[in-house]
Amino acid sequence: MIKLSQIRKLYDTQEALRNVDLQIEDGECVVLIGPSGCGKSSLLKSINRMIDIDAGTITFFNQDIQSLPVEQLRRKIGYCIQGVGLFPHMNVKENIAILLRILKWKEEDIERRVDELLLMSELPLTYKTKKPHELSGGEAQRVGVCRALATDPPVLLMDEPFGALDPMTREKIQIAFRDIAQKLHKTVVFVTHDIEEAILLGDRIALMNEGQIVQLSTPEALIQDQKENFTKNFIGQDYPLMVLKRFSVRDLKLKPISNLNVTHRIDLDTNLKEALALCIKQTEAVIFKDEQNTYSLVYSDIFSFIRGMQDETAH
Amino acid sequence: MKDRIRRGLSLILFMTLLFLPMGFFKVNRVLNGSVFSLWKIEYAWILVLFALISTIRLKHRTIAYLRSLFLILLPSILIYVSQSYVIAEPFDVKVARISLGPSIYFACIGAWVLLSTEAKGSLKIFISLCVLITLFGFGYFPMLGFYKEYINRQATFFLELQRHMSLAVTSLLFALVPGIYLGYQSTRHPRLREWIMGFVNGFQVAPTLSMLALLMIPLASLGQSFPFLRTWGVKGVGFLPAFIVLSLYALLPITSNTYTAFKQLDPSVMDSAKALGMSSKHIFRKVSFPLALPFIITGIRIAFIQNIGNTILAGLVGGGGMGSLIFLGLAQSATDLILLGSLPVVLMALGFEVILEFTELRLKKKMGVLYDQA
Repeated sequence: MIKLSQIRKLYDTQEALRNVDLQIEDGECVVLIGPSGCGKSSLLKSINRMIDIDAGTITFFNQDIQSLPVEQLRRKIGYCIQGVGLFPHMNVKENIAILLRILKWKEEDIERRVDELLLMSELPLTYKTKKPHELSGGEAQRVGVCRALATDPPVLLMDEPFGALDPMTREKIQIAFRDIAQKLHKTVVFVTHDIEEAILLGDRIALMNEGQIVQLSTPEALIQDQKENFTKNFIGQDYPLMVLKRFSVRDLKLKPISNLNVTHRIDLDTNLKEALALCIKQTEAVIFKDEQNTYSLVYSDIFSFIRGMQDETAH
Repeated sequence: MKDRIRRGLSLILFMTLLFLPMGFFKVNRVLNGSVFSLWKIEYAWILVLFALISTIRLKHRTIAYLRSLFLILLPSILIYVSQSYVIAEPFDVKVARISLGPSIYFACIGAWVLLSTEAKGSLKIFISLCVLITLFGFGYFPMLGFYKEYINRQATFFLELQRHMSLAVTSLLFALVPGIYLGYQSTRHPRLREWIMGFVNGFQVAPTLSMLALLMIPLASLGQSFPFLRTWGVKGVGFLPAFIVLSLYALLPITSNTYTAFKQLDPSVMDSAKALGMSSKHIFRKVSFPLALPFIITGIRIAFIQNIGNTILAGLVGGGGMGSLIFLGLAQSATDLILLGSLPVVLMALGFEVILEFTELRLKKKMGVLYDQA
């Protein structure tokens, strides 16, 4: 658990962070989002002391981070940035293993750990000997995540890591990252300025403006509960549609129907935004099947799901 | 297009053989020589004819091979042939000599320029030079004034060559650690940087000769007041002042290159090294120093090449080296002796430049810092 209280940060006389309070629970993903210069990056970097705050306290699993040796603290916190920052003179394996080498792991343990991480991030093991300049942007970022995860830190800090990737790669890597973080039960603090990314990854979204957290709520709650004008403007009118991406057809809990002619090749993992798009194109029901059952999907399934979701967040 | 210009240049350079002096004949070392041209040597015009023809662009493979061979050997052949200039006057073979004239130099350059248009041009030029030096070493140019000076001073020549190299290398080695240290410190302390750069720049601005002269006074007085220092070589003249001046001169390229080497490191790489929880010692050893190394080596290369040239001045203060041959030649107005002193310096500088640059390129590729250009 990370607890930030009354954080202030000054750049010369400019206040970058104004008395920010934030509590991050174990295993949750908090997305810090806001326009450039809102202090989201500064807040993130204060957690692993890449920048030093001027006032306030940060506790990391009930320990003040100032009381820990800075290297010890950083080894418990994985960190990924937009530029990735892989070491260009080392190959992929050496990049991932650099800290393991410093910690004097045995060679066979390093080998096993690197293989494990590459498999998990869906990179071929042959990439171990590649140099960073031989990788594509997405691959490099995956290696960056592997390096951050090498010592199995409980916390990951992500500073717009996927910002420079093309949309296709970005979405793939976002989903892969979300699955990894959930599977390993990592606590994640994620900085982005992309609202779709925030919706897809965040358990909670912290909307920041001018050095303060304006609103902190779950992506679903944000549909109804927009406290300030700034929030409305920032998340946009089509926000409710974007939230559909968080859910898949599986969440609709459709009942299997008797065999009909399958009209579409989608499955239960297709996200609701795409499913809705299909329904719009289609005049009749969308019939699809997974391994065992056949399902039928119509507009109203999605609508009633949204209604149910709103009722849930209202209570 | 570029090749065409180079071929044209070679053509002009070869044509100088036809009307510029090919060499000077001297009855002995002191007397003024008499000029002779290519036409005084039987059949030499055939060589020139071949040379002129070789500037024509051609595609035939065998002929291209022959042309490369011809161009590689041309400098050696021209020098060899020029020795056969014989005049009717009686002369003593032991002291009579030939100096090379401008047209031979031009023709050599022409051959190398032409070789540079071919595939593996640098290698062919290198081979051509090697052939020339080997033939010289085995005494195939006995009539050459240059060779006679060399034979007369063979022992001193090699001694001075060795002293030249050891002076250039030791003064470089002495500047290495302080140079890298100063450069590294100026990246860490921006305030200090101005002082450090001002300090190392100061030596670069001051003329080498005046530095030598300035050093003579304190070193000489030191040596006089403490006689035991004299026995260690602390004197106004000799090895020490040259060594000090050369070291100070080598500082700037090393320091400023080290500074830029650390400055150009990718901030995202440095940030992620820090964020991984590496100590500053580990970051330096595993990340910043290896990545800066190729650029530091550039500085060392520049300092070394500059040192090889500057070491000539050591000859002025009795520090030895090829400079002592050159200044002796100047005093005796013996052109061949001046050449004997300066040509090896030029060749060494060029040779080390090529070798070190090659190593550097390899290292940069290995470190992955050159991938955007490679």
